Amino acid sequence: MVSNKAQFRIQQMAFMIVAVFFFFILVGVAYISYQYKTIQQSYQELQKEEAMRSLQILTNMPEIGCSQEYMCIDEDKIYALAVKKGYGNAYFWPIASIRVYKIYPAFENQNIIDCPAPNCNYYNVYDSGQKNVQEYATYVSLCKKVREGGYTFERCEIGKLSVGVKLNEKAE
Amino acid sequence: MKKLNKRAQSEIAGFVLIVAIVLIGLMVFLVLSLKKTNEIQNVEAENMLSSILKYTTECSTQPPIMNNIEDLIIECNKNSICINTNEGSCEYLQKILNKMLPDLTRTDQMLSAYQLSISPKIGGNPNILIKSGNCTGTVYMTQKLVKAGVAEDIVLKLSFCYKTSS
Repeated sequence: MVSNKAQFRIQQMAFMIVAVFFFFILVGVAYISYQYKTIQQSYQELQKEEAMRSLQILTNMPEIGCSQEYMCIDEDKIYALAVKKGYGNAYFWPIASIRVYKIYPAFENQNIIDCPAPNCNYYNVYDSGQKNVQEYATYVSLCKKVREGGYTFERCEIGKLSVGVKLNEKAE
Repeated sequence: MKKLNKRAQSEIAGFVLIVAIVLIGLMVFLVLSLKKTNEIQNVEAENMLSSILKYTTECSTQPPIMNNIEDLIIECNKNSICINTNEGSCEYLQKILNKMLPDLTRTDQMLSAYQLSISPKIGGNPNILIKSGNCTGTVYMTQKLVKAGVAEDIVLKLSFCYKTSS
């Protein structure tokens, strides 16, 4: 009788230990999946941050950037590049495409008008013609020298610099 | 009888101990997940704020020089007037930012909410506060200090949220 009772008690304890063990396993799984999600999110954010840093490097290039200004593009320079396409080779630009959109002041009709044209709002600075491309964009100042009222100054608008980066194709 | 009572008591004590351990574990987990700061410094916000500040306005407090937004913030702090438009610099600044921010954020389909505040460094409510939408997830932000005098620095804070992908 006593032996039966003892067996029952051991069984009861074993069940309890197994239940507690499974409970902690479940909590652990929930914690790991939460951490995994956070790490994945941070990875995507870091990737985007890296792309943004690359865009900053690009705007610092003397071919398109304003002198000593942070995230600033010289509109006169990109105008020349969009017209002449002189720098349009893959050896010079280490990327797939460079596009600049004027976004503020916004145009009444939201259409994209390719520069050079009157009231244009889009510069296609470089396009390698590659297809499998990931585009990254960021806000930039779009400045040009203007003369108004007999006074020359730099007028800045707001644009978006969009750069295409070629994606690695999976090996077949 | 006395022995049985004691056994029951120890059973209850064991059960309470297990429940306490589980509760402590859950509380630690909750505290750790809630402690995480929800505001992240962001390069895109930094670029957006920097291009906003450089934007050349149509207001001129000292003709013929046209003020950019950064100058206008300083002029607003001095309560200057746009001489060419005969308008208060603060009213003009508020008006232009109210028009500019929706136009800028419209180009990013993933943005769900934004907020720009211009406030004095040493306490006080924001002089200008422009916001739209409701933010539920992580807030991406940037801050910039505009020097408007020795004791009158102004803090600009731009923050925005992205739509959460389901």
